[in-house]
Amino acid sequence: MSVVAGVLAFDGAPVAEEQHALQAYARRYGAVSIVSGSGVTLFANDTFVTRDDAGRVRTAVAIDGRVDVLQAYERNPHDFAGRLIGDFAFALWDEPQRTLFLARDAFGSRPLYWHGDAKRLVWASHLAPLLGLAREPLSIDRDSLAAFVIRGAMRDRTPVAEIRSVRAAELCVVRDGVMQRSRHWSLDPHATVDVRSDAEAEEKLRALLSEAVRSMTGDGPASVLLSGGVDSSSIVAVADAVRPEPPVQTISWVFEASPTSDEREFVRAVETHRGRRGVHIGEREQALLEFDPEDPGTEIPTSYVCFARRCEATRAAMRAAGSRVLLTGIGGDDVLYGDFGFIGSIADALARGRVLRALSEVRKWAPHVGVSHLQLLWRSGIRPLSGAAPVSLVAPWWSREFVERMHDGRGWPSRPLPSRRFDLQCFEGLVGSMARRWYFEHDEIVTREPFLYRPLVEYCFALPFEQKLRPGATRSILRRALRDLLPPAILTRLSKCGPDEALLRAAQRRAGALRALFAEARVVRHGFADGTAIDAALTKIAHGFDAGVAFLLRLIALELWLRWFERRPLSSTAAVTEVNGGIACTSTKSRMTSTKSRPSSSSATPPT
Amino acid sequence: MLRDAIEAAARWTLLPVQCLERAAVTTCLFRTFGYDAAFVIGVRRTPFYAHAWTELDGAVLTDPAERVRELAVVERC
Repeated sequence: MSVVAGVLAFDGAPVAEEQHALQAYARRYGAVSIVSGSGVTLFANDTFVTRDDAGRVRTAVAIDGRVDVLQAYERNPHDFAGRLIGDFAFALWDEPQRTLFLARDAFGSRPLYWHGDAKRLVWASHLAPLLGLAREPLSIDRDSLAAFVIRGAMRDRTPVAEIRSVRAAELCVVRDGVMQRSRHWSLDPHATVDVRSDAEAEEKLRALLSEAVRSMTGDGPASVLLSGGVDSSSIVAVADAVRPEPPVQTISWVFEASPTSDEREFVRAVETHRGRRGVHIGEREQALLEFDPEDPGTEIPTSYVCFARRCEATRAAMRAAGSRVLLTGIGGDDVLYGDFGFIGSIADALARGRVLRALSEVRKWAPHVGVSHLQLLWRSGIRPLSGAAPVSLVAPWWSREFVERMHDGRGWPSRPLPSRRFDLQCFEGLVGSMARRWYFEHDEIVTREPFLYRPLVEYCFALPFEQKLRPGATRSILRRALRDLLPPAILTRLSKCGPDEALLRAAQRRAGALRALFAEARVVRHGFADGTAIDAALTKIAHGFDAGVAFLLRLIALELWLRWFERRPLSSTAAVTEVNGGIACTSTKSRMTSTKSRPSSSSATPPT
Repeated sequence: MLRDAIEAAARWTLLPVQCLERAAVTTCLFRTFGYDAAFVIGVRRTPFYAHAWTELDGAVLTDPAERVRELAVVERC
């Protein structure tokens, strides 16, 4: 993957220690420095510089992504980030103005962290180099960990309190030692599309999806992660339509030994339809839950640590095909209503005071949703109106304190209509899932999500609810728009198998390793989870009970992250503490000791 | 018709109607009207899953037949 890093000294003084550390980090990823002097150094794989007549650097951009930041900035320096469409994280230095801009794309596809104090600001695409450069004691942010483990949402926070993240769709402007943060883009909750006919809406959606696939793959070899669901199958179908040569390679993670997870029937339907067999990575090759407790290979607690071998097999298949870009169907569920979990038209009718209309909608939808009329009225009508937060399923092993931290206390936003509030919640969840995904990218591989093409997201968000969900059809507009491209088996399917059985079988195979991992669990030592409950869950799993095996991945991820954090490289001045009321750890080395501390704020200090 | 009536009743309950309630009511009603319906419970070990359904002359009344095909019957009454 490409990286972005850099350091800015506010007084223009040399920052040799930071430069040296970032240089070593950047070199590992093949990045180079592009500006050095005036107290600022930028590192990146992709760099762009403009110079004045005397050959001095005027503007320098370090970017992870493929958007033309420099051109946008020169056209409109006051409003340029919001005009960029694509995946990106960048640092832009304007030498005459002595101003630094840090930004990430609308969905946070590319990571960008920063750490600042009164004298300097350092930033990087990874946490690790910043941990080594911190001059103050580092703290585990318990709130942030809890939110991340459950919802993937950390906004501007990271598992380490002193390290902050540029938020998705955020632009940070640093001038004279002061950072000003603002959003360069946001969904307009009141946006609407005037749909004159179904055909018009379908044509527009198809055009936008085609544009997304074309812009994300270019002309070279590309791969698509094909699960057999409607979303990923749609990406394959559209890719074949808009760029038949070279044909995209499909890669499928299949579970041949777990019948309730086996989607090969649908994968084959797509392969037969396009007349091309894809790569199947089987259960044995995926080696689910095989991780190295000493080297999880991640610096955020993402459950991708449990899929390391699968990711490696995917990368190997792509390398063999000469492909660098992997498209996924992520986002389809969120922007186009992937299930019948919430029927917005019921709550919208109630919000408008049209009770009879709401009851009519209940009668219409109940047979398709598979619940009783009263349950549907409660779930999709009354509860959303009450402003209560959506219910999150929580695994039984988390401690009560940790569970309380998972919820940030926010219910549904009060305005506008309930269906729009639901869309906003979905969007936030989507940004969270993007945050959890980072681990997948390694080496030269880049993952992209056509359903997160910004014009497509904006269009889908503005579409009326009834275009997206209709009785008997989730993602209604997508199915209608691609009815001539998708095989019938995909067009008509409503359910989808999850990997739960495959994970359960993997957990049974790896029972010994899991028990060993949790024998001296850091998650228990830190008070995040209850060891007895973990033990009980592992026993249930051994007997074939699901026992929240999908949630177990997050527990493993957190355990491995805590171990990684213990072993991380420390600068000579760094110590370790823990904020938000946890066990305080005071050590100048990486080993933690247990002494109680009182709760304190986890807010990092931006440069002032 | 009986099956449709049970489905209609299930649509107006406040609490979720699980397979057990559905199968029990269906079996009782069919027996009340003179049919020799059977109440069946089946399980799968990994991942563990238990399900109840009603059969009449070997035909599954409360589910699609393929849904119960892979389950081992542990009780039939």
